[in-house]
Amino acid sequence: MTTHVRHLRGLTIATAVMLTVSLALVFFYAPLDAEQGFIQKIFYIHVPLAIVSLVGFTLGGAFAVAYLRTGNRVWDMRSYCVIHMSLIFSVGGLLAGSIWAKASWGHWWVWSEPTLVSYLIVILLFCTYQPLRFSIEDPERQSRYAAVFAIVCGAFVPINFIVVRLSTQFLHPRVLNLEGGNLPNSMKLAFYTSLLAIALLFATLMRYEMAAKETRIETRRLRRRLLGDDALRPLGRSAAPQ
Amino acid sequence: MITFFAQAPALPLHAAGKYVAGAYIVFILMLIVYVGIMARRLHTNQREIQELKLLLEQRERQELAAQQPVPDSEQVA
Repeated sequence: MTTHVRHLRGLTIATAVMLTVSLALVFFYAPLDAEQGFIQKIFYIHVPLAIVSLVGFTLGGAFAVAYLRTGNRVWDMRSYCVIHMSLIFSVGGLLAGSIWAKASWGHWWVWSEPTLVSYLIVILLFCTYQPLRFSIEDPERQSRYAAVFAIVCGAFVPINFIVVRLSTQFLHPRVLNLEGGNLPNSMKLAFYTSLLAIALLFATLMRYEMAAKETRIETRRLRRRLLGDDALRPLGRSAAPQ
Repeated sequence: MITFFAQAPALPLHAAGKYVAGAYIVFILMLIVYVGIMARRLHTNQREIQELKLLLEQRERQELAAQQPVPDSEQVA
C-alpha cells in the first residue's frame, strides 16, 4: 500500500461529514446578512475555494523546492497534483465569485477591481504550467523546469495577495483580517467550518489523484517485469510526471 | 436534528435564490465531473491489472506444464 492510499477511507468520510455539516451551518444556522441578504451565502463557498486554491499554488512551489533539493520524483508528483487541483478549485472559486458579483454588483466581472483581476492573473499564470510541462519531452528536464516555474509562481501568490490588500481601492468586501474580521460569531463558525471542509476536500482529492498516478506507474512497472520492454506501449508525451 | 431544523431560519428563495443555487450547483457539478474522470481512470487501471493477472496465470500454467516429466515410452509399453 502506498503512502497516499493509506488513511484514504478515513479522510473521505471526514470530508463528507464536514461538507454536510458546513452546508447545514451555512443554510440553517448562519443568519442572513443585513446588507446583502441571502446572496451572501455564496461567500461561504467562494472565499474558501479561493483561499484553498491560493494556498495550494503556494504549496506547489514549496513541493517544487523539496524536489530540487532532494531529487525525489515523489515531490515533483506532489507539486504537479497540488497545482492541478488548485487550478480546478480556483476555477470553481472564480465562477462562484462571478455569480456573486452579478447578484450584488449587477456585473459578471469588474475589471477595475484589483482582487478579481489579480486572482485571474494568478490563475492564468498557473494555466501555463501544464503546457510548459507538455512542451518538454525529456522527463528529467520537464520536472526541473516545471519546479523552477512552480517556485517562481508560488512565490508570486503571497506577494500578489499582500500588494492587493495594501492597495487603496476597497470595492471588494473585506470581511477577514488578522484580528478576526467583522463577522458575527455564528457566521464565523459557518465560515471556518466551510473552510475546513473545502481544505479537507482538497486534501482528499489530491490523495486520490496521487494514488491513481502511483497505481498507473506501478502497473506499467509490473507489465515491464512480466512481459519485458517490448510489450510496453510507447509512452505518449505527457504533462504529468512519468 | 429535528430540533435543529425546526429552529433554522426559513430560506428566502425568491430573487437571490437562483444565484446562490447557481454558485453551489457549479461547485457540485465540478466535483461530479472530477469524480467521473477519476472513476474512468480507475476502470482503465483495473482492466489493465486484470489483463496482467490473466497473462501471469497463463504463463504459470505453461511453466508448470513444461516442468512435468514426459512419460517414458518403454514404461508405457
